[in-house]
Amino acid sequence: MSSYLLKVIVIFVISAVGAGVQLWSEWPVQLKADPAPPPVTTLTIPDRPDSQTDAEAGEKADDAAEVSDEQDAPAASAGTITLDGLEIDLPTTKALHENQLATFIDARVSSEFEEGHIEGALNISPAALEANSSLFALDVIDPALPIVIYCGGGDCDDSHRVAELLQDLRGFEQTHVFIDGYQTWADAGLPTSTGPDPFAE
Amino acid sequence: MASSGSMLQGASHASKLESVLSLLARIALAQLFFIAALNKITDPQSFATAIDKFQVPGFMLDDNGENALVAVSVFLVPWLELVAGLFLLAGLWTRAAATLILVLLAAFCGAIYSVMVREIEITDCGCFGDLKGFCRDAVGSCNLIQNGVLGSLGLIALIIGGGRASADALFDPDEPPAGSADDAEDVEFA
Repeated sequence: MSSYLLKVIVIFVISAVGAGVQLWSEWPVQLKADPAPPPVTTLTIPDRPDSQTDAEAGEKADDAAEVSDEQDAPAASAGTITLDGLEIDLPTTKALHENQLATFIDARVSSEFEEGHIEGALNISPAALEANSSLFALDVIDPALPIVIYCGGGDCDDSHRVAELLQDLRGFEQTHVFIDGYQTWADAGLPTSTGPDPFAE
Repeated sequence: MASSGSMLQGASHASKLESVLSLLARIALAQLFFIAALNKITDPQSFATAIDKFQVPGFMLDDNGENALVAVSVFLVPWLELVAGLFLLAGLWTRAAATLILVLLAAFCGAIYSVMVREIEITDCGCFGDLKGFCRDAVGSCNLIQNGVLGSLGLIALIIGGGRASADALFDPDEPPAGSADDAEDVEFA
């Protein structure tokens, strides 16, 4: 019995040494991977009679948006929207959606997507992207527009994962994460749809 | 176990069969654990994210993306998979390596079962790093079955040992090949 236990311990120790060497070689270790921040972009809001200004968008969103990197500095000024940083807040997301200046991607699983999603969003989950990086849905993305990815909000990490995968696998640089997530969007009474993604495979 | 012991003391052709069975089980298991280990070793961040998603108390990243237990698991688990897989493939200290593999699989099953009970939906279990395993839907019973199959292969190696085509048969007197006179005692212990 002692011989048997000794062998188990030796195998464990060899593994621990390997793990220790890797840990030492990669120190300091960042366990949580965030996608790279996209370059700062300023978009011009097209002159449409029904388009709202960012100020209007901001007023409606104040109750719902809790976390934002850009809350202190307005993301948009008159006629333009500036995207600075990976994560964007509700007012900026709303302005992008209203003016059709971005492609929206729902990173949740298909069952959640079918129950409700941001109007016009595509459904691309991390698992789907990992299984098939040449999803048909990716072909309908306009590479000239920024991509806004969201999931359920809160602790949900799938939007960051999709942003990272789109950068790594497909070379999309303008990927932003709507950090407040779908629930905040729906609670704010903004446009939503139900049903499956027509471009899903 | 007594019945297993008597089985191993059977006719010589049975020991050949057991040796082949052990060899096939060891190759299959080692291959799968190599793939799983290498994907995790080359991308520890994805494995850390996968562990975090299981929301096991004590194994959740904080706001700064830090947690000591996750950090230890992220590096130790894949190395255990790799080293135990190598020992299994070589058939060296087969039963000890199989034991470690089974302990890992039991821990994975416990984590999977806990998310099923808590109704946490996880799209990717991280079992094979960034690669998808046999289960492509949300983590659930499919993953348990997958681990059950792997566990069965591990049990074969644990019960039979390395068999004749193994380093144990050549080098290790403590690990007699399947079918030898000492097997019954060894299996009783296992």
